[in-house]
Amino acid sequence: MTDETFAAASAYFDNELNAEERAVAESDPAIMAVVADWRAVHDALAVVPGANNDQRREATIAAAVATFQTRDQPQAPPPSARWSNRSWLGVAAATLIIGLFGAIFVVGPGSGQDSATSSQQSDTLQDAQINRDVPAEALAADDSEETSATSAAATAASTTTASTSPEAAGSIAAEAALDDEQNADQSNGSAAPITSTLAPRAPDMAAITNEQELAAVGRWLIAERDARRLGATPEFACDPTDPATGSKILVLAAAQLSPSPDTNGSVAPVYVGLSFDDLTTYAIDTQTCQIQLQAATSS
Amino acid sequence: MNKPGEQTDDELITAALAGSTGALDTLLRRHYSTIQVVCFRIAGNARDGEDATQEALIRIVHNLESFAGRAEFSTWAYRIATNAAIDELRKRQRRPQLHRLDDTERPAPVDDAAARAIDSLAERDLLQSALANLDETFRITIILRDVAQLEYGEIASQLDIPIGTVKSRLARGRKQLLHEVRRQTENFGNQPPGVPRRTLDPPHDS
Repeated sequence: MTDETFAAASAYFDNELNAEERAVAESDPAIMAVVADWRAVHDALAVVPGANNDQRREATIAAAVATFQTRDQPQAPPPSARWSNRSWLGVAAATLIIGLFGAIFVVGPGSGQDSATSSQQSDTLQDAQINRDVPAEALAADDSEETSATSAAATAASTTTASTSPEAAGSIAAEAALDDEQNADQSNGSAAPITSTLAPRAPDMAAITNEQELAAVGRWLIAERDARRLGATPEFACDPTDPATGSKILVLAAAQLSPSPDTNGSVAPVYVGLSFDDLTTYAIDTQTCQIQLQAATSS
Repeated sequence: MNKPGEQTDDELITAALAGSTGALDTLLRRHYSTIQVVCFRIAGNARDGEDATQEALIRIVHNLESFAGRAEFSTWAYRIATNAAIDELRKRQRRPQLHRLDDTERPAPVDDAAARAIDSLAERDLLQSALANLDETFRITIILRDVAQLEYGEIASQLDIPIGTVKSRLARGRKQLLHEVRRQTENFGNQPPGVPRRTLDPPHDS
């Protein structure tokens, strides 16, 4: 089939032909066949498999509306309370005078830094606000370039109970972010060994040999998550998306695979991750990003 | 198109900016589904699509005051959704992809029911797989037209390309996507719902 046929079919489908051109197209079976095929794909494109998640929709819309409300909190004074131009002139003059005296009695070198810190904190607050309703699983998808402060904000937000107000959730997230920033400062920003950032290891995590053991690790991780005892997500350079299912994998821990037929005879350090979509636990090679082993895990 | 008696997008925006969260909620709810599909189809999978949808909605409310009203709200909102989804895509592309061991090394499904479930999953994902194999410029143009239902001029404006390029990308992209759907279908050994195989291109044209 020629490009011209597709061009004509495409334009016909989009109702971009004049009457004469439409008549020509409709008399050409090849064009009409392409139009019919495309109509089927067009209809399928508008459907997202498994998209009828009311809970997700409500949470997403509520988060956006809450963001809007929070943004509006510093309300502008009503018109009746606004100052007259004369008042503004007086304030401007006073500010100028104070500014001149301030310049004479020099401000210390830390002032610029304070300003920067304040700006950073403001940014962090905004990040925390945006991430307020990000589920814990989304942490695994955090861009490696994002700051740990943002991740901490999202973590704190995700562990906030549903009854917590959006403002309170944002505040908790911001506090967590700031704590994380302070911790980062104390360590001079140097990257700690991955294992030191992980949750406590389960006794049976040292050597996974088969699906059953991996599933057991998965169950333990779920319990740890439910008890909110999980530590920070380890740094993870791979895209945490299962290429077969599209599920996001939340990488939670490091472990070791032991040689066995199930593990393809390999011994390798792996990350253990969970997909909360289908409660599958994964063992992922830390170097190659290969999924070495996976197991269904019931909570 | 609004139903009789229904507030227009512009009215809802005005009310929202005056402080009505109900109006904002209605506005977002009205466009949620399309934004979600745009994000999903561009981002490529459900979870990234969800992240992009949430990001898009937050960007929309953050920038609502700056919406000048020169375009339809839907056009503006879908542009934001497109950008949010592209950002999500870029994030993912900067990381190495997870990949599986060879299929031959994967354990066989434990029973027929499991095999059927896997088949169903694969079939459902077939169109998305075909889309993923399209050139990104084609994919985005098709989604803006076929999902967001933007006019050629709006797409041209959004992508900063001439209208002629929009037409060309749509024709070529649709041709490629139909080819991909057919290829995926043949690889899968099945026929996706609603796509008749009879009229697709013969192999020698691909």
